[in-house]
Amino acid sequence: MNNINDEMLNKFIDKELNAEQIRIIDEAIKNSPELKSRYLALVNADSVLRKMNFESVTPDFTKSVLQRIQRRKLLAKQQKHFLFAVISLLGIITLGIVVYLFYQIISLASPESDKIVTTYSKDLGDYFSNLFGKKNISIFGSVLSFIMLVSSYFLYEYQKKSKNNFNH
Amino acid sequence: MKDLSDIEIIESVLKGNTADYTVIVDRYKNKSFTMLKRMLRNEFDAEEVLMDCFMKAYNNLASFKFESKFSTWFYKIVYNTALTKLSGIKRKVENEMQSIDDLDYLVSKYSAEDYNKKELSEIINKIINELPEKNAAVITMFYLEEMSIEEISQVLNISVSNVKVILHRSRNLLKDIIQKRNLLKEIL
Repeated sequence: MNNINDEMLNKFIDKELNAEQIRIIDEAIKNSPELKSRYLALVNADSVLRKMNFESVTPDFTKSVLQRIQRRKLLAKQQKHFLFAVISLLGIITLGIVVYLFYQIISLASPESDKIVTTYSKDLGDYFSNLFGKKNISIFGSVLSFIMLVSSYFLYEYQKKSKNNFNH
Repeated sequence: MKDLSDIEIIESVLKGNTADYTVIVDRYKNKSFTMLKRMLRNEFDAEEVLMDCFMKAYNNLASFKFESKFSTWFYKIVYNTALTKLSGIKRKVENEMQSIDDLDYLVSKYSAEDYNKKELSEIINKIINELPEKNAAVITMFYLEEMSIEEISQVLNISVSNVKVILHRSRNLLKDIIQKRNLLKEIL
């Protein structure tokens, strides 16, 4: 009966054996005190493990998780608004540059077209002309670069976070 | 809400009812905390990692495919985050040295006279707390979470037979200690 090892006894406890194997082990346990002792010790190990208790987290754990989720949602909303503001600003600047270039092209192509351009659009053109003139162009360049740098940083962070979330 | 299944709660959370996520948290917090505490052997780290796990699960709920059980998916996050934490604190190297074949040191340790007066449950808890992280995870998932061997194999990403080997060796370890310390009479 010594050929019945712990592995077989484990399978016997887990009911993984067929009827014939169960009968053989049952008989062996009855006839061998050594095997019976081993079997009982294993059964007891199993029952002690089944009686294990849960450990408890701190009482306000659930509340903390919910608070963290809400903070995160708020942060995501703020980031979204910031990105929208940056993109809008970039859009306005780009539109301004396009209008300015368009005005310059029209003015150079046909000086008489001034007559077609209404006073309002002429004023608008002058305004953009002054805005992107030699004086202000360096300031605009710096602001634009700064905005692009900040946006790139946030986009990079956002991508990194998304990648991390994806990996987990 | 508490009677609803995990899937129903997740669907509700995905519809925007964030507060419903607390039901999931309440349902799994103590079970996974027990597993993490046994793996990390530190209460503070276990709670911190658990918080991260719930955040990760929440952030990735949209990517949860309803093909598997939520518990299997969630414990996968818990187990992998615990391993990342362990590797971060350099404890993993130490634990890896204790392979699943090398549990004899625990048998000799807890068969010693010094532990004679201690209660069996106390000894068992001490032993489980000293098991290598994979064994501790298997024992906790099988006995406390009552997960099937197949589910555990999915969580740990190992074969079903490997899970059985880990489970049987952990059980054999306790059996040896019970036999060597003559605790059988005490239990019976």
